[in-house]
Amino acid sequence: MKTYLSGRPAGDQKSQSRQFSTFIVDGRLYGIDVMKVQEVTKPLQVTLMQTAPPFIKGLINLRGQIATAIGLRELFGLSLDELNEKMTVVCKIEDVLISLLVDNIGDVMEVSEHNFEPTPQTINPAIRTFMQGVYKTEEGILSVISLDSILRELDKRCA
Amino acid sequence: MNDEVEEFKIEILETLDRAERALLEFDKLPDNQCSNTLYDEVFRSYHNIKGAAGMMEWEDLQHHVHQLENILMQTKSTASIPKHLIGWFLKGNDVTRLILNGETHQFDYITPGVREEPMGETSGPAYAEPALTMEVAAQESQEQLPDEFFAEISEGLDRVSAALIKMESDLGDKALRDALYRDIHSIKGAVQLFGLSEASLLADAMETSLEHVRALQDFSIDKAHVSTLLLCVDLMDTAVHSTRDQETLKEVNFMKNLLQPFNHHRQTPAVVKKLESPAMKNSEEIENLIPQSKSKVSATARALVPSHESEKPDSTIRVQVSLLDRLMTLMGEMVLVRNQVLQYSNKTDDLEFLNLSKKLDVVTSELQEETMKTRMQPIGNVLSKFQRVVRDLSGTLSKKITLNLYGIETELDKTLIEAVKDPLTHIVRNACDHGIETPEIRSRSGKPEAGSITIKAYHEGGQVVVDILDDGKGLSRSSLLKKAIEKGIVDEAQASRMTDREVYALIFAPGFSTAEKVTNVSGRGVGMDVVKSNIERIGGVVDIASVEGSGTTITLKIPLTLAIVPAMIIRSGHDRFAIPQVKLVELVRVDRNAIEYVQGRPIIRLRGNLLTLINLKEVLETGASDEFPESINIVILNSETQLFGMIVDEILDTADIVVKPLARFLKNTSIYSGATVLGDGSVAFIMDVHGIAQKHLGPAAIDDRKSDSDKYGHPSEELELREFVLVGLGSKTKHAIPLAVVGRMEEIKTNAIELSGHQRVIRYRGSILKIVNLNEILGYPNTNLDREITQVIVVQVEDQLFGLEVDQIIDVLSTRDFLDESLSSHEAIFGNLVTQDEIVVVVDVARVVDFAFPTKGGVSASIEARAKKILLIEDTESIRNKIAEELVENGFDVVVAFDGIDGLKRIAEKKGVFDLIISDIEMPRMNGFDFAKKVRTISALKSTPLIAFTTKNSPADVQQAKDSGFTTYLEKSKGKLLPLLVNECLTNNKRKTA
Repeated sequence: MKTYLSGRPAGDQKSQSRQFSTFIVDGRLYGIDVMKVQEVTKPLQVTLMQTAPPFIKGLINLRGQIATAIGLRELFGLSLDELNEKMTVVCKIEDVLISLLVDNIGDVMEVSEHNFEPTPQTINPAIRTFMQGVYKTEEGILSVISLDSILRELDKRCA
Repeated sequence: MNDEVEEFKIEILETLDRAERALLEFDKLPDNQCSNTLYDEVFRSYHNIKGAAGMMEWEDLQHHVHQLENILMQTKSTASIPKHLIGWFLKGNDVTRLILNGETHQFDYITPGVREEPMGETSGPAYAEPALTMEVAAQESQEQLPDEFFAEISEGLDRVSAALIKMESDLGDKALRDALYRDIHSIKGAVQLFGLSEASLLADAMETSLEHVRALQDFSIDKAHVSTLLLCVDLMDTAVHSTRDQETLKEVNFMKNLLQPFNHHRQTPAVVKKLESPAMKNSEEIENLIPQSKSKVSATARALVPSHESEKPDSTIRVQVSLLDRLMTLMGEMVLVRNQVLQYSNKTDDLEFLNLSKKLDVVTSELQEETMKTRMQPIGNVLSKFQRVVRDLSGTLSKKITLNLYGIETELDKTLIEAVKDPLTHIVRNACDHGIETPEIRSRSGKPEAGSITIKAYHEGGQVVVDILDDGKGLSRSSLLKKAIEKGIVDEAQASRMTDREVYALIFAPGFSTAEKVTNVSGRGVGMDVVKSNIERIGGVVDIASVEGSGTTITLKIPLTLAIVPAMIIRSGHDRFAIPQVKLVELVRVDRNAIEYVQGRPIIRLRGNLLTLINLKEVLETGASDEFPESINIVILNSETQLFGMIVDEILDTADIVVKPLARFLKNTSIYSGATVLGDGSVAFIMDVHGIAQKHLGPAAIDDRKSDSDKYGHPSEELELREFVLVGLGSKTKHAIPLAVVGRMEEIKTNAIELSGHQRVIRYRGSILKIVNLNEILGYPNTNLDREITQVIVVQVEDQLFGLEVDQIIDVLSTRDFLDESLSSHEAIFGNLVTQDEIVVVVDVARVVDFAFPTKGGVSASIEARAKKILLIEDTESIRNKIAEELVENGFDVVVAFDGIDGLKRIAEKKGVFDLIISDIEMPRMNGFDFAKKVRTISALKSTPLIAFTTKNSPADVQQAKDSGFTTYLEKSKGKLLPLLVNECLTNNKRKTA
């Protein structure tokens, strides 16, 4: 079941809901569309990429496939805390395999469309770029990350 | 079924390409110049397509090509095609492609201006008539029934026989019954159309007798009925070929009566039973009446039993590219696993494991090599398409341009061929549009009116190089610079400093076009930059050289394959990197003091040349210091035009790496070109040598190492270099075995040699390898007996492996020295090789094997035991495969060839050891007549039976075949008789020689 977000709540259709794979970076709860997440792993051995921007952590060997490790703290402009980056979320987008370094992994959450809110203006612009919007949940606010924006931003910053 | 259609389409397209090439060749000749070869090529192509279309029951295609063929027929007497018709035929070919793709088409079968052609024949107006209908076409060719008719009938009859036999054994379902009925019905229709009354009578009788069978829901066809019908099938074959034959008519009538009782089967089963016995009796009667029938039926039956296991003769199969791609990917992964296993094996003392991993290594390498080969294709597949492009363009642009192709057989990876297609098209179009001048300008500047574009492809240094040369106006430095300044790509100050090469490179800049005006051919400024980016994307390089006024050369250097690359692994700090071997020139280690500085840049002197150094740490920005260790490792790299040395911490190892692309946002780093997984599972970056040079040394300096002329004008043919393995035998002289026949060199434990009968053998890679002692054969004393290790050279002779036991393997010899064949002391010796310091005896391995295993001329019954070897020459793939299959089923050993020249090649390869040769007559390059004449000049084949197998069946043809040396003659439509005929010929020949 896959629904597409138009950036607006989907009206009265309360039955519509989406599933997110959630994770925590610097104490905040983020989510990525569960369909786009390939797997969740402990950090693997990283081959450093010299001369690359700091958010490019290097390359990892994911069972013969090569993924680019991306530091979300660096990308979001958060304080660095490598010791706390205990997990990675591997996603495939437009044939690019990226592995996002996160602090911790949360559950897969199912949220109802009517709890959706556009990204508040108050959020740090460095992070807002990557956000699709937020969901109010019992565990607090879930910030939805758009992989497309991440890829776009990576293209931009590495150009 | 779909596969069949696809295969059919591919074959048609290939045939069509052949026709097109010949048409274009015609176009180069002066108007109305006759050329039998070319004319025949076109004609044969159309004819084959028509035949194939008929077989596939593709009516509109058949009809269309038939029209083309008809028009072509008009000029048969002159064997020429008038210029104005060539375009028409080309369009006709396009329509053929449309039909193949299932697209709608419109084509005017009125040929342009044909009436004016002085053909001098009264039939003139006939071919100017608009589209003839199929019926008319059929009427016309009634005199000489078209091939596809016979093909269709015999296909149909084959299917009928197969269905009948199947029904006899397991009843068969309704679909089968319907198919059977339908086939007989179609045959009836076809023979009626061609006015074969006897055949149609027979078909009608068959159809009627099957009427009830088709209607019945549950039925069992009785054996008698099947037998009778099978006899009918045979009779039909005869009836179709011999028209207006009283004998045939009598037989048909008899057969018809015989079928009569089966017409009423539907009544009750009891009647069936009752009728069965008389029918049986009758069928026996009829079998007596038609001699040979029985054997023919059983022969047919044998041939039709599906034999999946039957060994196919060497031939080709078509495979989906996606499957090969997958195979390639898996191969890549396998290489990785192999690397990991090898790495692990270094850590263990387990001998068994070491042994196994070594084996795995060997097998994987071989597998990899062979897998790569499956994807290799000649670049000519793409290049020959340009003949058409150039022809069309020269028409549009009103220029005269000829295209010359060299090295079209150069092979490279299929995906790369696809990838270079567009860039090459751009370059060729550009050359036509901008490069070559109009005939007026050309003649004014003293050049021949017709411009020429030459494409040369060749292998060089593990790469494929494609040169595209034109003799046009060349690039003008001043106008290029003017344009570049106008467009703001460079400023005037820069412009004055630029080298010619840099100036020429401007045409690859996006948005740059030098055309005075935009034409519909090119000039929009897209193209050359796309060329560059496309070629670079596949790891290739584009280079340009030009002389104003006399032409331009564009050089593409393309890697052979993308997937697996041999590389050198080096270390810098904690990181390991892979450097593609093609970029690697040499490895040197120098003392710290050897480093000098020129303008702050480190250099070394290497054999009198100054070599700029780059510190890899500097490239990686990982804290480079000038504090070098005492001895420094330098890898010398080759980037396009310049050599430079790169200082690395350690040189580790070579490895075959599987190139994985970097994520797209990482591609802008100019120092990495990709990544790979190393043996231990970690990831390493692949260095982009060119990028590093550009970044750290600036754009390529003026290439003073060699001038453009000798760079592009190097001789492509070299003197033939031959390679031999030098071995020691029980003779003072060294002996040489041609490397071409050597598969491997092995050291085996002497006690591993076993005896099979009197033959010494070893178990070798899952099969038995016969060991031949070279000393014994050549009559030298044997000193080899009490050794622990025996040196064996594994050679391949006629698809079989043999082990040649020698005393010692000395060396490999590459030589251009003269092979003196005049002094040969032994039949298994080619001659002597006179090298600088000694004389080496060259062994004729094929004769050695002949000596060791005499199969011919012996006294024993082994003649009978040995499968008779038949050479089959036929240019149509489907027919070739079918016949070869049938012959193999009949227990013959078949070697196939696709035309006369290829046939001679096979004969040369097999040293003329054929018991019988079957050859088609109509073939490209060398036809059957010429082939036969050649064969008769070969002493070993003077009396070998030679069967002409052909559709040409006029008495004149038969006579010509006899004159050319053919023993006998068989029409293709009687293909089923071939095994019989072959047997007959072989028996006759044996009797004669005995």
